[in-house]
Amino acid sequence: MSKKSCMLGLFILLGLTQIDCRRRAESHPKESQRVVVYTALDRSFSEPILRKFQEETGIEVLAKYDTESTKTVGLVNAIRAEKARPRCDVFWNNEIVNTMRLKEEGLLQPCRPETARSFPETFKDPDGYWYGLAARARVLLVNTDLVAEGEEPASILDLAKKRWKGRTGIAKPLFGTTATHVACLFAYWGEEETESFLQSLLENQIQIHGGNKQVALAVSEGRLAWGLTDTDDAIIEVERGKPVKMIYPDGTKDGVGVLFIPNTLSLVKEAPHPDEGKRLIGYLLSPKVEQQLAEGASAQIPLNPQVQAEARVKTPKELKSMEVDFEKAACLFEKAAATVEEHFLL
Amino acid sequence: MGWIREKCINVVKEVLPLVFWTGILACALPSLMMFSRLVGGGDEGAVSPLVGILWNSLPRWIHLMGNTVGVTLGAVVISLLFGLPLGFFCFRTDLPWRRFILSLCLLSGLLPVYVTATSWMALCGMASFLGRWLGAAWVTGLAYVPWVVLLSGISFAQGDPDLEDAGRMDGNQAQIAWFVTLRAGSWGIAASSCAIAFLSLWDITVTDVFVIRTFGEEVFTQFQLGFGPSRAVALAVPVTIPCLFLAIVMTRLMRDLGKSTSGGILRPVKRLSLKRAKVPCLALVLLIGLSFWGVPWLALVKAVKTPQNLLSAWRATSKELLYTLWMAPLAATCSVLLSTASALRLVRPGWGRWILGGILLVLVSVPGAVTGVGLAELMNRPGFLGRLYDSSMGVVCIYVLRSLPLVSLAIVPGLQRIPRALWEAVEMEGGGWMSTWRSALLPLSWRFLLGGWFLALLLCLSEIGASFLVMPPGKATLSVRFFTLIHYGVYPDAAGICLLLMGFVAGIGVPLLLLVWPTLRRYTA
Repeated sequence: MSKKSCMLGLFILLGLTQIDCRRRAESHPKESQRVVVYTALDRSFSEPILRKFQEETGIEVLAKYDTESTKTVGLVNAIRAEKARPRCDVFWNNEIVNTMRLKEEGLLQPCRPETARSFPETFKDPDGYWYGLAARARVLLVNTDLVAEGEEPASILDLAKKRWKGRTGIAKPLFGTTATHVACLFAYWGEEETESFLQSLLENQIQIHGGNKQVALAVSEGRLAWGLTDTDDAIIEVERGKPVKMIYPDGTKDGVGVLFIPNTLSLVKEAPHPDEGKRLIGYLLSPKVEQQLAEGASAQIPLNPQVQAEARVKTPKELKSMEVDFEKAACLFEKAAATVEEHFLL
Repeated sequence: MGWIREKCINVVKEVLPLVFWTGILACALPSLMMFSRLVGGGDEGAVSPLVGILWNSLPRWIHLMGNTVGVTLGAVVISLLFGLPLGFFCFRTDLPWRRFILSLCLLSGLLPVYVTATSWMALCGMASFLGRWLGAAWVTGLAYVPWVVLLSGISFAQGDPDLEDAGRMDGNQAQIAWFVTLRAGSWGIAASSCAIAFLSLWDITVTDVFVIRTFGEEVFTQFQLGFGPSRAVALAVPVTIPCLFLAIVMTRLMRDLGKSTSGGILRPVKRLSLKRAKVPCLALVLLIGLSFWGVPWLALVKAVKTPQNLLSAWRATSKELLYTLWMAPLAATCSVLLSTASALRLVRPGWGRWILGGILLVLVSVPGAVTGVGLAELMNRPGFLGRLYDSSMGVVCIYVLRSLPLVSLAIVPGLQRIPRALWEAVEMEGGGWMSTWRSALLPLSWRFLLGGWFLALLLCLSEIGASFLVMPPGKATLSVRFFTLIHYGVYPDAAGICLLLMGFVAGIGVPLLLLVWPTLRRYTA
């Protein structure tokens, strides 16, 4: 190889580096005009909204999305790992318990966006550390080809019934809304009862899938008779025309109630771009975003009374909702995760 | 001006080893830092989880170990089952169309394992068509067949012609094949088995899709759970230790392999004539190729359905695809440069090779998630390192760390094949390291360097467990995006990405194929 070839190779490499640097410089005109958001809400639902914010404000949005198999918890731990030098400005969580845990750990800072005023007090932190929006319900998705009418399950307790042995499924209960659900059951039923329920699920050979989406897919493809999942994953299968039906478990007067889990928004403590972060939170709490989430494929339930979108799934107004103390659930989350890990990591 | 040049060369001579060793130690630092927690106590008592796993949760440990060993061994056996005969047919016989088959192997060898997984899922649906662990082993094994074909084939083609000629006097073709050819090719078989075992051992994409819990998945999950890194590191130990032993055994096996006899490097081995069996053999090879690769790929095309869907897949993932196609070749080039220096150090005598070998063994034995968290902890701090961490350098670093040991291993035989006498002759003539490289090492080992680059590129394109942990916000590699998409089933987007990736691999692969075509012709002439 001649010296000329070496020099040429070196110049090409340097040239490519320069192209990338120039491209980066052009796309980031001002370092401060950016906001970093960690979002646990599915990318397909959150990306269009974040892109619209970028178009409207000119603030560049750098988003980090979660994978389905480590939903929520992966990003929460990233925020923890980066606490000495935070990179994230806004945490858009798809549930509430882990946001509360971050608040308890002192990793969030308060903010008071104007658009949050119209939200009910129940769905916002009194100190302004987090704001809830666009909820989802935990539902049972039933394959109507495999389960005859009248024989459908009506409660999450049916997951432990012998007749469904090996035919039902849930997502890995260490992550995402399934982990939240277990923590809520710990808070609602108590540790002993929940642990015995989890044990009965194992004995009933419940199938553990990577995420709620996979549970919904397994039901719609007939690999499971029914499974516990979220409304956003279930509605997609319903609207795809698959032989499935959504059931709101325990939603009757005698039941424990349907668990509704809101998305939450929070500003990370010592966020590198706090002003842009506050603007993004303000934008995400605006009625048009909830409207978009309600009308979109995920059919999320608006929490802001100003939003006029017609919900495609049942709302807390129509069903008995599970009266769960989310703060207690947040305190019990670690205990719940340790129990689940012991039983379910096989 | 001559003395200035000489001075500069001397300075570079002095500085280069220092730069090299700093680079190598920096590579080892993240993994060593994580494992030091086991000794030092760590965040919540690191040794106790290990003891807990071993004694308190023995059934769980056995279950995890069973799955891990099952998937790994299954993948190795399946890839050898298909790869070895194909390698032998293509490199040691006069099979028609062998160069065409090899070209396809070379190109498909660049496809990440998740493309094979998706194509089989497109064919059979999300249902586990072979059961959970066998399905994972099947898909992983098939994905790595091209590498077995190439590595074992090259090793078969580099057999000793003198020994084979001598064998012909006493034995028949089968005896020669068994006692001479297979033995001469054992380094290729060992290298490919070793590489596939390591790649399968810590893979989390296929196991996640098939819902099978292995140690790789477990370590990644534990990191994400946030019980502290020490717990996850402790969980990695039961596999890291056997891995280290395996790596040591393989290194010892390969120590003398790849070295040439004086004649072997110059004279090609004789090709076995298939005579009447030519056509049936070709038919068999094509049938197997079409059944196990062709049909699943066609299923991918079917899953995309319309060109509009392909366009939509491009729109949805072009950012990640372009980012990956910028990062992966850059990291592969860095990896080959560092691996070449490492391989050079490994083939030369001295204490340095033992230290370097030890570091490479640690790097290859440690799961990606451990390396990823170690690197994140090391870089995520105020100052220069923090700025690097915020850029894409973290991704490049992790790609280099993950590919360095295997690429070094791939390059070592290439350097070992160069007769020591030739090497020494160039040095005795007064040539410096640069002229030794230019006149002896590079011309005789460039195809191994190119092979190493291909291997590094494949490893970078497939990497997820570690890169996911250091990915800067606003960026994502294709494998990370795919890891999310694949959970949603083989929708047109996921299938479209696979087809686009196949197109890009063909785009990169075809020019490189043309470059190595004369070598391929010589090996298969």
